[in-house]
Amino acid sequence: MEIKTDVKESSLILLKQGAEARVFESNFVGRRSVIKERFSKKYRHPTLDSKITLKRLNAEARCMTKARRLGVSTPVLYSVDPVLHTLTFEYVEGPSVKDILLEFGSHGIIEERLDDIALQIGVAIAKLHDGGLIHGDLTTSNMLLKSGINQLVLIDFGLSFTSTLPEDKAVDLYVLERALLSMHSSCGNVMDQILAAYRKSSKQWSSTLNKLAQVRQRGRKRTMVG
Amino acid sequence: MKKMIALGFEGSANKIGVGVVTLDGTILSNPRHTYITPPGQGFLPRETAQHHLQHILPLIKSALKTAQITPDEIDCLCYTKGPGMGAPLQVAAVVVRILSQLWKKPIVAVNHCVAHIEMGRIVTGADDPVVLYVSGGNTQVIAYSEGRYQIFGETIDIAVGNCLDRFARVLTLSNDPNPGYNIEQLAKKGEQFIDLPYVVKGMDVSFSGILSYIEATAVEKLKNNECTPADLCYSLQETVFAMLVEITERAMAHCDTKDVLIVGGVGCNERLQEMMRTMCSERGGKLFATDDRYCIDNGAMIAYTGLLAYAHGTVTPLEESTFTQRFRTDEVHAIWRQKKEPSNMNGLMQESS
Amino acid sequence: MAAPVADMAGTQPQWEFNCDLEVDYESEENASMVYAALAVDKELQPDKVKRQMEVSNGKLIVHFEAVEARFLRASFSAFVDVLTLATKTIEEFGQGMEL
Repeated sequence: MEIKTDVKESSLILLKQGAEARVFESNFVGRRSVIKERFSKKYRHPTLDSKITLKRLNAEARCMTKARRLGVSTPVLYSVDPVLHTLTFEYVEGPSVKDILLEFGSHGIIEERLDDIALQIGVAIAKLHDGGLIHGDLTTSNMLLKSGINQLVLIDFGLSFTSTLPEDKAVDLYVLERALLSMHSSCGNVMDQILAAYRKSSKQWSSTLNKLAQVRQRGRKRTMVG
Repeated sequence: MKKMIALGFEGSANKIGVGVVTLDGTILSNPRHTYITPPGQGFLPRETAQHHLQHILPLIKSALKTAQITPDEIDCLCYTKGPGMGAPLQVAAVVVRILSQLWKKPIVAVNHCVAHIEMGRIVTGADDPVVLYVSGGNTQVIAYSEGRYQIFGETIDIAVGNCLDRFARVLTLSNDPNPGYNIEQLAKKGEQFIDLPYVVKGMDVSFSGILSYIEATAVEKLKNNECTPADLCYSLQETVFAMLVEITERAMAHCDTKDVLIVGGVGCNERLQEMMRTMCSERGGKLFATDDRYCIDNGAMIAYTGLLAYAHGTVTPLEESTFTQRFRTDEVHAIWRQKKEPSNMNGLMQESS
Repeated sequence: MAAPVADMAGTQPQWEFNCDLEVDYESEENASMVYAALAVDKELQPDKVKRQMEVSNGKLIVHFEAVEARFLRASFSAFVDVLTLATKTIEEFGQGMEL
């Protein structure tokens, strides 16, 4: 997987400054590409910081490749640099699901598109989970829709890990459910549509969704003293 | 027009407090009393309620006296409806129901978590921050959106304060003034960083793994002199606070907000504040934090939040002045935050009086 | 304030364990106030403990019934605590209060 990186400093254009990484547009052997550089967080203890940074860099490289093998669309990984903490991968052109849903929220929902997006999300997560992969950060910002073909592309696998436990899969879905509730409540119950699609495509849907019910209960039942 | 005044009661956990505030956030008085348990012990509902029963009436007298007001001058009586422990919550609720009848004043039920947020906003002047609410029972990352305080991230198991309290019990640290404070002091002497489970899931966190690790492995390490209690306090703080700062930053990126407000008892921790401040300044934002007068449960925060709701037409009929152990932050319709409407407080006041 | 009066004299206890409590406030107004304040909170386990209250001649009359003695004890004792608190609140903050 390790390919020598050929980064020309001059060709870098900062696309996004995220919480833990800077994302640049670049050129990788003639192809339009993205460089994601994880930087250290000054608030963190240095030992903890380098451990987390390296762990997430590796998780992201490994898991985004694994996701592709499971039939889930992710950007193609071109190279990893554990010293500079960078990943270089394919540039995906298209808006995030977050932007599309926010647009629906303010200018009205296009039912047909929403149904298609929910279906694709449900199917993609089912494929990950059946393959023993947990995304770990399923929010609408981490889902893109490739321009032209409207294909769902999952990104940001920094918190991903492998697991076949229903608990981990359920929490993965719970995180998404909460992200939808807090940001996109005006789009109606998208989560129900996603779960319907998940149920149809995941072989282990039953144990995961049972667990999801328990995880939700935990959230509600927690006594909140103080 | 005379300033509106509220009397507020808080008793959802181990503090009983009575506060007097005006609508502009001026605190006229805010006495409270804390139920402190011996080292190694947590507070139980029944004993805590007994504590509140003993202290609530003297606290009312002291609050009125310090504020130099008479019951006639009060516009409304506010109490914590929840979340919290049942029996302690009932103490404040019962007193408010009686006073409401004696003094012919309306009641306003208040959500404890929302009260922390509103108190933090008025004290610090933070307008629309991402809020980290951290206490013995709560760990939430909150932002205002579409009329409510939406929860973007939270703990999927135990609260951070609960994790700290239980850790303090393992080390039998003193509960005076509170376990978190003593962990903070001891952490300053820590030298060695011990690797603890770091669990972030999206914008959610989990602390139960750390606690079981501490209760098992770390206790062994202590026995074998591989580390000191101070090292454990230090490592615990560094780890759990890094998790909290991380999910707060994620929520900021998600909501496109620059400022952070920390509220709740754990919010007094200076190391947490320092870490959060570093993160905020890297993003070009500001940290707003309060000291223990406000971030620890108190009556004024309930009075102020109730008064906001009251000034916007909310009253709770006596028959509905119940309390509840579970009351989510996002259940509250924050009508006072819906701006751009002409305020007609005079009309509302006549209507509700 | 008119307090609803349950006709308890004619009602046979359904559950084996029961007890009665009577507090004489010598004031219809005060008794009704305490009644109104305490009636808000329902018994937490209505399938195990029942509480009926009425105000009559300045007295608050309370009747408890429970399926087991321990439920009766717990309910009764918790009730007495808040009843005492309500009563003290009237004494200290009612007419002629001094600060």
